[in-house]
Amino acid sequence: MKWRMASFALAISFALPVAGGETPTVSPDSVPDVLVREQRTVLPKVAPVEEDYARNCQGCHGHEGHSVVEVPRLQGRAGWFTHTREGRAYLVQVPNVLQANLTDERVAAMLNWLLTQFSNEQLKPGFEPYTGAEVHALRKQRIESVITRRREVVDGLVRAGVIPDATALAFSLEPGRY
Amino acid sequence: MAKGLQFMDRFFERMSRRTAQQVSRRHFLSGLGAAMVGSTFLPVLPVSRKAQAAEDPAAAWAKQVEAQTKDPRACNYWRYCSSDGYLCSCCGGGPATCPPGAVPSPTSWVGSCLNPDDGKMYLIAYRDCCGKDSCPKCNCLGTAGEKPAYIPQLNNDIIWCFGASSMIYHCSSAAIVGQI
Repeated sequence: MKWRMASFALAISFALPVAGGETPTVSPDSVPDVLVREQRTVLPKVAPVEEDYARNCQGCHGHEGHSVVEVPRLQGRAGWFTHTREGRAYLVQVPNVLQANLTDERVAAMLNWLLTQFSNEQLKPGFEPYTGAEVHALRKQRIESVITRRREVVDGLVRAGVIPDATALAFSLEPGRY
Repeated sequence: MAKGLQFMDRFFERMSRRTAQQVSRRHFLSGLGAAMVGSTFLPVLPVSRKAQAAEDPAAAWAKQVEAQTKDPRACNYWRYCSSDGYLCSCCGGGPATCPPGAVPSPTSWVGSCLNPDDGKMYLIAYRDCCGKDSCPKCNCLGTAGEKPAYIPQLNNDIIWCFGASSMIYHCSSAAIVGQI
């Protein structure tokens, strides 16, 4: 009886996701590729929501939510947008989210993932995750100009006292651009 | 009108009488049974599954070029299913490293390829090496998962040196991002 309990506990511990936000990895020996084996590269096992981010966003925004000055940085600031209704809508209505080849449910999951992953501290207290229905409704409203709309939204966040000034959410990190 | 109907009536009556006389009931039932069972098994025949497997462009590419996992200097190395350009492996670099003098672009586009040896899909980041004249060696063209140029973020005809210090294209690399 005892060993049965023990094996049950063991099975449960394997079934549980890795705790503490650590990404599960794949051993180099299990990847049939000459270089992965030679260089002993440890690859991450990519979850479906991370895959959606990787395929649709990561190329420009970077795998940690930041890359070059030309691309708006997500890390440490995207969460501020969730403080106002307009900001929350804006995150769905930026062109490459609005037009992404993903269902509304997957866009909602991807936004919730990236916001908590890259900008958890900036989120509105008690942030309510996006739902597929909310994304569906927001995706029907197109914004005319992303630059103009962004400026309006950011000004709203300044007025609401969420950010001290507009430079905190400047489109580009390089002064003088846009 | 009535004549036409009468003709139809007589025609079907004659047909069904003839069937009843010539075909035994057991024969008919066994035939019907075979047809019903056969139709339920039809969707699990290998033909149907093959057609579904071919829908994935990465899997189709791997099959078409007989993708391999040993030689990164050949066009059919499994990671190049969406690579368009000169292979960095033939230019003094590797599939995930730039040759000396060229710098990796900070932006890339992410696709996926099928590893032919374990049958699993991996995310691949296609990153151009920039800042040096183009290296005209090992020109390969893979188009799995590529979208037309009006969806530029998923198109590989474009030079992906965006954000790099120089827009001059040297070669294409293909680093593994992770296992799906």
